[in-house]
Amino acid sequence: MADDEQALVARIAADDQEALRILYTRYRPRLWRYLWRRLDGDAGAVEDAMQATWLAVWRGAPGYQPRGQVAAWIFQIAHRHVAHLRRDTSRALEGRLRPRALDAEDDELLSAVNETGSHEERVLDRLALVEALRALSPAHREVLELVFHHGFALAEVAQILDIPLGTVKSRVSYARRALATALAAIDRDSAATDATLRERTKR
Amino acid sequence: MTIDMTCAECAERLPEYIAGLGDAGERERIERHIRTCDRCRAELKLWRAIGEAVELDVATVPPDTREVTGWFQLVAQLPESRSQPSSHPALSAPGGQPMEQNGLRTLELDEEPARSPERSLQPPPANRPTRRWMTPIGAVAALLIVALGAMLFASHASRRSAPALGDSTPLVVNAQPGPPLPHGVTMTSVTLAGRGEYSATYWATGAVSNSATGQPDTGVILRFSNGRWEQVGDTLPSYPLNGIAMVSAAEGWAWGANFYDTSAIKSVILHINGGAWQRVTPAGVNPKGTPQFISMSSPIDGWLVMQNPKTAGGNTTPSSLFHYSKGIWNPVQSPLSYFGDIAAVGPGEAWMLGGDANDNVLIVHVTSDKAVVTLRRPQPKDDNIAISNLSAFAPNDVWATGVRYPSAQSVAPENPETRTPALYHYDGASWQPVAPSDLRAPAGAQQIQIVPYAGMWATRSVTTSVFPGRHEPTENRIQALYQLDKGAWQEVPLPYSDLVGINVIPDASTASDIWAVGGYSVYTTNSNGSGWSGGTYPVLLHYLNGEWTEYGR
Repeated sequence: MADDEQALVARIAADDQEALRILYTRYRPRLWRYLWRRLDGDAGAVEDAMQATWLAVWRGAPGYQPRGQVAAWIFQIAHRHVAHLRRDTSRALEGRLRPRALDAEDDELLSAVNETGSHEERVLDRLALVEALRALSPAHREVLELVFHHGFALAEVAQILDIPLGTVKSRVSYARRALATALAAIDRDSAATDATLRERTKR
Repeated sequence: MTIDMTCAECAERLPEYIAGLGDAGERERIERHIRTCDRCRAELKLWRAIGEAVELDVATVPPDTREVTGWFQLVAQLPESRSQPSSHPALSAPGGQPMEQNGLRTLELDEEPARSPERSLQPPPANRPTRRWMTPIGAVAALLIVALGAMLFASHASRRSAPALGDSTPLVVNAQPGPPLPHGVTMTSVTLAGRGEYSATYWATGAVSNSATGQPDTGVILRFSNGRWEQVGDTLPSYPLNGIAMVSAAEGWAWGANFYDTSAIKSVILHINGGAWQRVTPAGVNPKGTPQFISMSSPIDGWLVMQNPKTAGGNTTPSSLFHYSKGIWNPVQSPLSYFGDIAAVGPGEAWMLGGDANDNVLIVHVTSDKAVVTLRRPQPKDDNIAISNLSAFAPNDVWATGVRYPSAQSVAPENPETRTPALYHYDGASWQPVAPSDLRAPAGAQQIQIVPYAGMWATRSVTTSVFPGRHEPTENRIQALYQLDKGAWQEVPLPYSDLVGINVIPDASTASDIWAVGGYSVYTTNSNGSGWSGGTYPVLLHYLNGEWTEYGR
């Protein structure tokens, strides 16, 4: 597959639009999700970044150095575009890039749903972890998404984000600590609920 | 702990391990270490939970509806020196332009388009969510559900013997056989999770025959990994599975029912997560009903259709619809009494094809607990159109496809039936018929599949009786397969001479690298010759460089 994609990049360098279309078809869905997350769901900005990424792939193909996956190269282009955009409009984007928080109504609903059995309970545990994930900084979430959703190795993540491998590892480690703490808190909460229920049953 | 790897080394590799990365040797070293180390096992569990949470979080991204327009926009921006004619198949599709309605005028589909009556979907109050939950639940990228051979066991006269699959000889004409299925397993449905070649994962359900009765009554879940199908989790005795819908590379739903004992049909719905599955019994499901299909738009949003048992008098009863949200299957009322297809497109949003109690054909667009009937037309007694598939690409770009039969009469041995494609397009306002000639379909094409990016696909087929001299059963064998690529239809060699259906998988295919689910049927007469049994089975097909490879026949 890696050979196939490097051949596609070579064809793009030789003005082959069909080769660009194959890569576009293959990667657009993943790039869409990646850019959507980085640009916090601003559909217009996502499409602009998408166009800029593929134009850069087209223009950059003649100078492409085959090292690592073509996928990592494309994501690196997308990341650079977002980073550039963020520098340009840092004030405007900063607010929107902040993780969303749950409001009290949601909490109430979640606790109501929590009483409905094992499958739902497991779903809710996962949702609580999702909530903790959303409390992480965008940079930490980005690393986790690139590994778990997009399937990049840590070294490729370092290439995409233009940061040292050590920084990627420390972000992974920080995210792990934060989520493990959140998970422990969920377990403590449910243990406390169980204890309360036991208490009530005794009376 | 083993001398192979320290805990620190193992812990550092776990994120990549969970993501399925690393070579086989390294993965084995990690597994060996984990088997002997409680601490790293706990660490693995934590990373697995984190990986799931990431997937669930990413699943809230709404689907990309601008793939096609985005491509055209991109092409327009490419420097002049590099411009070439686009090969996108949508160029050949009429897409909302005025169309000739030759040949299909008799349908008069647009007689009632303006009505679009809105009906409220009213779930029972106890289950109805009254508030928005967290951030709006988005949709995971469109999931393709290809349940081509939903193990349709037809029946006639006495039907007790199982189809003799083991004895059948595949009529291979141009397909390299892939690795065999696990011993004794027959595939019953195939689905794809994820999009794009790197994230695409195929899953399937299967059945194993009971050695005592010969009935394929044991369910199996299969995952396509490293070019072969492997069983996931334990087998499910007494419950053959016949459908599967995945929401990620690891999570999904499978369903099935034991049709063999009509006096006590047993149905089952399974939730699959990682390598395990668990039975789920949604509240309000009639235990004697059978799951028809599940269509998911994301890990936390989807639809289930249950076919309910007939009344004591033998009359059919309306099917039940359930919506999955916040981890719960909630019953909802709908204008449809029976369902042909559901295309789940986003949180709470879906397109549904079916009919109502008064025998009207309906196509309904469900959004935010509201059902808008986009098409309602009476189903005349002598109707010869069968619409079976919905493909929703955008709110103003929805296709309904099926076949048109030459007559309402049944197929006779001396009168092989031929069909023509039936195609309808919704542009956001009304449904309009699309004539095959608008798509410059090859002469004799009987069915057309609309597949963005992988070209359109057409088949020419003929329906004949399976057993000479008998009216039933019949099968529709494909005679030729065509692909629309670079603006022209090209004939593609067939993998089998006994192919009875083929669905190209859009999310895994490009014009030159095709993944498809094919169908083949197996029928046998009973030993006393008075009856027959059989059905249609799916097979995963890959077409690359002019060659087919089959996986699972």
